[in-house]
Amino acid sequence: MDDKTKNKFEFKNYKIIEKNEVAPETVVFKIQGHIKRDPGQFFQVSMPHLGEATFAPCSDIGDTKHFELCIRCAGSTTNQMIKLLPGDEMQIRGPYGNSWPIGKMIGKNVVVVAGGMGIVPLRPLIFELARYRKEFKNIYIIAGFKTPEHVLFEKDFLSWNSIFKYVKVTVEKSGSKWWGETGLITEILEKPKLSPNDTIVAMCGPDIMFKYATQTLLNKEIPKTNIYVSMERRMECGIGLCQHCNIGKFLVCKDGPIFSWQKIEPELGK
Amino acid sequence: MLYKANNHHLDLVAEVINKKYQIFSHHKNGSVFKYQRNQSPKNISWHSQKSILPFKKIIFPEGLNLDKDNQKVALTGLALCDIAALNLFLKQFSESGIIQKREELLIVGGDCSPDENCFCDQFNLDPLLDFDLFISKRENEYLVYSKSWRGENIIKKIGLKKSLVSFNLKAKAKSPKIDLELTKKNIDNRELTKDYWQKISNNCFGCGACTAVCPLCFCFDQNFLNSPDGGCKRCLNWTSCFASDFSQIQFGHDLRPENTDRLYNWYHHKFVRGPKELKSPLCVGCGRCITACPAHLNIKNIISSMNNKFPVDN
Amino acid sequence: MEKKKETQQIFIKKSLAIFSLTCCEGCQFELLKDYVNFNHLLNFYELKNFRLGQENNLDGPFDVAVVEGTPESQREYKLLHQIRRESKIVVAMGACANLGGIQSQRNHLPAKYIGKPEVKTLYDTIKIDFSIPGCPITNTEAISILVDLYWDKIPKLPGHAVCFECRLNENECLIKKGLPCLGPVTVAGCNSICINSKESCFGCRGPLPQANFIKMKEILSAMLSKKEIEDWLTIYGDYQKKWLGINKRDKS
Repeated sequence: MDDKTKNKFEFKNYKIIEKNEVAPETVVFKIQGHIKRDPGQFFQVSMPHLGEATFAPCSDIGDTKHFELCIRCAGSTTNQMIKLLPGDEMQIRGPYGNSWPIGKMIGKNVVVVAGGMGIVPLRPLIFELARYRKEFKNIYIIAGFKTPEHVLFEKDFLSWNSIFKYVKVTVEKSGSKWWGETGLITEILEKPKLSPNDTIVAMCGPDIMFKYATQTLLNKEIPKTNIYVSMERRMECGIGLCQHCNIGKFLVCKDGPIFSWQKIEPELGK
Repeated sequence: MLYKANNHHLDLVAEVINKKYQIFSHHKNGSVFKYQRNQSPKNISWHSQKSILPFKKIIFPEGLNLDKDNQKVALTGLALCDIAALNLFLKQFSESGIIQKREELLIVGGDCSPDENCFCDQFNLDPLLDFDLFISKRENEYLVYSKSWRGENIIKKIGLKKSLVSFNLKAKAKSPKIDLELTKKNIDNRELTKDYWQKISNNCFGCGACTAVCPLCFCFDQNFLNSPDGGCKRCLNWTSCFASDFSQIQFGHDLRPENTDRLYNWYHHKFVRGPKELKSPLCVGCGRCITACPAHLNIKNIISSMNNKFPVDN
Repeated sequence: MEKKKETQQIFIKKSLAIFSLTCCEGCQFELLKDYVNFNHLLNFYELKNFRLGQENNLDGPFDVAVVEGTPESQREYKLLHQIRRESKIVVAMGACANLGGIQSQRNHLPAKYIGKPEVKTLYDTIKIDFSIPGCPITNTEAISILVDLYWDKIPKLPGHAVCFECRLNENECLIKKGLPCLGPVTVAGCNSICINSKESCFGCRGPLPQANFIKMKEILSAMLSKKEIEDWLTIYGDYQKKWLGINKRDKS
């Protein structure tokens, strides 16, 4: 514990310098400052008078001057958060939780699977994969969204297309100007041939996607120990005290949010 | 070290403690006992009584204000089960900075009079419990057992004589002990015990009374208390894993929608997750939840009948 | 005093209206019980319409309208729909507005004795955004819900039962003593005020989403006759049907 802070619940203020609406009711804030972190870790953000919410920063961890938070409104706290403007301050504490197993990915194929807002904690990972491209074998990036309107970080996907071998963005309901695929994410996941033993999967999305996507991957004989998922649960404290976020015997904030499927599957539904 | 003392000595002990700490002990309030502050060092009951709420209301009060400074507190008249629970409680929150640190607490144990719901004899309450003093009544004198330098310092100030009597803290088991490994295994296997939990939860209100009184239930919510003068304070409110909003995420989606999920989670936390995190089950057999339950559920019977039902390795 | 002036300047006030339909008006009095607290509320809100408390009342629109009681006459139904049209947020206050209240007991009587239409809750009549339950409401809870609404915080009723608060207040369980009590199935938030005074909980705040009525009846059957249980569970409205419905609506 830092000597200056009285307890682990203390926040620091950071200034918002840019705000972009990237999808319906979804905003990306660019925030001045630097919090040393690893891809996949998360912050607790506080809105005075309202409450706290948990967010994973979505920007490149190599940027030491700014970071970005992607926020979709889903409750009274986030509804007010997206009303903040450049110049306003945000109260943030963190980072908490573990990170994507980048060390384990070296020398292997990497598959990144993102469903909807699930791209948020994966984006810093993809930036790392791009930066150290030579350290990995083939990299597959598969992302699914509801409609073309909901696609987050469209520009990034277009630029990643030139770096990685396989970048597919799919929507459930396609529109007239849509450049990507149409269909469920699991259908796209069926397509690429993956070698079972040297492939690591990093996945984030709704629980229901895990269920079907892991089945697809297991059919391809990728071992459960090589499938990593980032879980979402209700969090209050973020530091392993409040007991809200447990999945079976694991606490998402302390033991997670990233688990291997081997570890977390038996605990689901407990 | 073990010392001999009489009533007068204990008054002196209280005075010494009072100089540095706020003293809390059991007070009779109508037909129940409450654990409350002693305004003066006189008339402290060193004997342990089972209060409805345990020590947690002192060190982790409901609505805990995150900006407050911790006071030095002496918790007196704690039964062995409460001492064991307090040790675990301190372990859980040791680094958080929101409750008293060990050095800001004086833990004084006392004899207890078990009631029909007590079952601490079922657990191996660690003989290496961490406390400062333990005061035990004998026929016409008291034995004072000190277990830390804090305790020794207090005794040094009064100058008590050593005692050579044999002294044993632990309660003898009256019935066969709960097989904690088997309990853990059975609870962890939800498929196997699914119907069992469904049956229990049909008889459970999901009201959360058990979690309110449990010395080792420490789930909380973080809230902003908007005061009418326009300010806001951050505080921690007690909550219960039986509450309908405990596992809700955005858009009202509930990850534990049924009472059976919540009940299972409570037992799972007590006997599976607790041992993983704090190396001990989060139940010390104080029996408060049995007294508090309006549905007449009994954790001791629930565990033992589960183990009877699923006896062997599964 | 200076500090108070400061706060009054900072806040942009929202407009508040407090309406009363058919009921005992006890909830309004409960709001006024703690005058200091109520006065604080006026730092945030301009009280546009409050018949009980002031003479000059204005028409809408309102930011927040608080309504107590149940609509009985055509005039009240009309007023209620007008309130909904003119207010951003409508809050149902008290057991009558939320559950039907004592008067809703007539819904269980044979039609020939009353010759009046069924008592309807506000939820049956218009769209309600939030509720302040209780008979009467709890002053501190009501004030804090209104303050939360000022800050655009969605007020949330507790997810646990009265029993939880009852143990927090270190009361002995009445059911354990053989006395009937609806605490285990009732939403908390009242600070278990009745049981603190050794009086049973009659469930004026409505049932929990997880309320286990089968178990409640089983336990009550050792203390009361079948008819009495039925009466207990319908004091403030049909405990099982309507009240559960309200809670489901509250969830979203």
